[in-house]
Amino acid sequence: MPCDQMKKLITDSLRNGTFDKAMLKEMEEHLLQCPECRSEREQEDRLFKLISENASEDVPDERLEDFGSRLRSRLRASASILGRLVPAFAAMMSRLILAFVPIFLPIFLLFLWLLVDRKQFQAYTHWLSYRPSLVGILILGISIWVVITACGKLTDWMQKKISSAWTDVRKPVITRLQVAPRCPRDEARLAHEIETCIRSKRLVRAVLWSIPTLICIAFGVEFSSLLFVSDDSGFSLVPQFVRYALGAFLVILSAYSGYAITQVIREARDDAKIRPRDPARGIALIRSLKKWRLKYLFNLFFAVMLACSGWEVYNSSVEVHSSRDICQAYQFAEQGKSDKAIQMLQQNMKYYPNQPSVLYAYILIGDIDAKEGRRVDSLQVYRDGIREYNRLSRRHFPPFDQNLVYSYAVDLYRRLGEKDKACAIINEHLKDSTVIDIRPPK
Amino acid sequence: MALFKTDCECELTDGVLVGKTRRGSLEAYDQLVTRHRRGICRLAFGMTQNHEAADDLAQEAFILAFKRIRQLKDADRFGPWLRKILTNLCIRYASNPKHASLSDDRWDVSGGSADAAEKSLVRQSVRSAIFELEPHERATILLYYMEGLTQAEIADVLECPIGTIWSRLNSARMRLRNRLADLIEVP
Repeated sequence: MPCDQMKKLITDSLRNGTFDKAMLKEMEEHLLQCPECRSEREQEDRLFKLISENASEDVPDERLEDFGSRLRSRLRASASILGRLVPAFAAMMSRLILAFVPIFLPIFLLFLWLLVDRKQFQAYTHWLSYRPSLVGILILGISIWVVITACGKLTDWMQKKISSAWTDVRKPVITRLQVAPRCPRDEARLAHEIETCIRSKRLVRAVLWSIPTLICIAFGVEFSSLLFVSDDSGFSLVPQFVRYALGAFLVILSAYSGYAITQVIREARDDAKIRPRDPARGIALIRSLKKWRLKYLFNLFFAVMLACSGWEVYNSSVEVHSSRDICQAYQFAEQGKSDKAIQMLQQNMKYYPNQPSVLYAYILIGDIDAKEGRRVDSLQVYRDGIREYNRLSRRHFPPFDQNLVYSYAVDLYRRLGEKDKACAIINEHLKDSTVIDIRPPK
Repeated sequence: MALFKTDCECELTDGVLVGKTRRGSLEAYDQLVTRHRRGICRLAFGMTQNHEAADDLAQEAFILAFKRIRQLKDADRFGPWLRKILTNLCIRYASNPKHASLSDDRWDVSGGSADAAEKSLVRQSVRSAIFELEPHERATILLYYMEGLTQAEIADVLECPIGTIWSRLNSARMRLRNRLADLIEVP
């Protein structure tokens, strides 16, 4: 064995099991014959011993305990609340959110298309204005779950493929640069290529996270307001409950999605910390991500989303309360407690002036007056009701509520004896709506 | 009973503990920390020669590893993966010009017998020589001589070709030999 080769192998020979027995024997023979290599070996032995014994020092047990306790508290603080409470759910959420892309993108586009044509939009949504049955909700839930499960793998695959696409494209260049003997310029280029790959992966991930967030925000508001329009009685618990639950779910989903975006940014920051090559590039990436102000933008979106959801909840509770008051006033009137009924109806008019039920309040008050012989007063109340109808008809209501407005107006005109106007409303309504035929029975 | 439980827990492999940590168990990660903290602190001190900085970097490495534990492909290789994170953190720290100098107050020159004083001087010389190396070379030398990794494993940790490791190791070794000639040369 030549001395050059021997010198190269000396260091590795210090490690047990690095070479086979034949090689070791050959090396031993060479060392016996060559004093220069023997000296080299001894020097390497001493260097090995010096460094392994003196390069660092053992940490005392007390210091280790202190280290452990401080680390424990920092770890507890850094672990996410959701991840600590339900780690399995947290792990599943990313997949669920990604699954929203293929499921809700077509539906969202459909809504956009329908919004362009208002008439078509109403014709479409009137089917949704009925209360969904429990079986319907069950079927809907199961279908969504099946689709989400099926799409989970697809979205995983999508993310993987898209994020590694750029890496695949640049792989030959990187491999060539890694294999070839390099000058500093090549080193810099290699670092640049690797960093570009990381950067593209991060950007793709950020975009993939942002799409479902935007869809959730846009669709959540529309979905919760259109799919479960409450009925006029307001006593049905299931649709209200489902509506609130759905709204809450979408809000949580959107919030989590935004949280995921901030996580991506945080992960990229962590990556920059642990990248061995040119960490300045990673830091530059973080700066560019910060420039987007994604975090703040999404915080704003969540605020809007929450405000919209709050408005929806407020509206639905107004509907429930106004309808409940009217029903109770009707019961008072039936029991002969006219004063109490009228007081309640007037309060209802005052507090819920923009609900369709306000027209029914006018009808009820007029009926009570007529029943007690105050014919003039009752006609005046009906006329006031017609004035309210004219005001409300300029507002937009969901289809079912619009039907109520029309039918109350017809009732008011009939009570005033203006049958032509009642028929005009019926004809106008029949042209516009297909929900309910409000023609009076023959 | 407590002793029995502790014994059982000690038998768990890194892979099992990583799996538990992924499922949200902080206790499992605590065991991993207890298992690796000594080696990690030692390596961090070797790289920085500063107790406080070593402590901070070791903590940072454990926290990063905890956050990104789902990205660890082979759960049984938690130790090397943790060293990879720590080494890169240390290189980043050492690359900062602010941390390029080694001040004397970091050394614990112990008094006492002549033998102890001599040992202390040897230690100072070795550490000083290692600290003068470039951060990448320092990492390579420490991983090779102190942690006992092979060149291929170091290449994996530092994410660079094995040829680069070989050349770094050789140049660092030459410099250390020159610097520590008095201590190494055989009479």
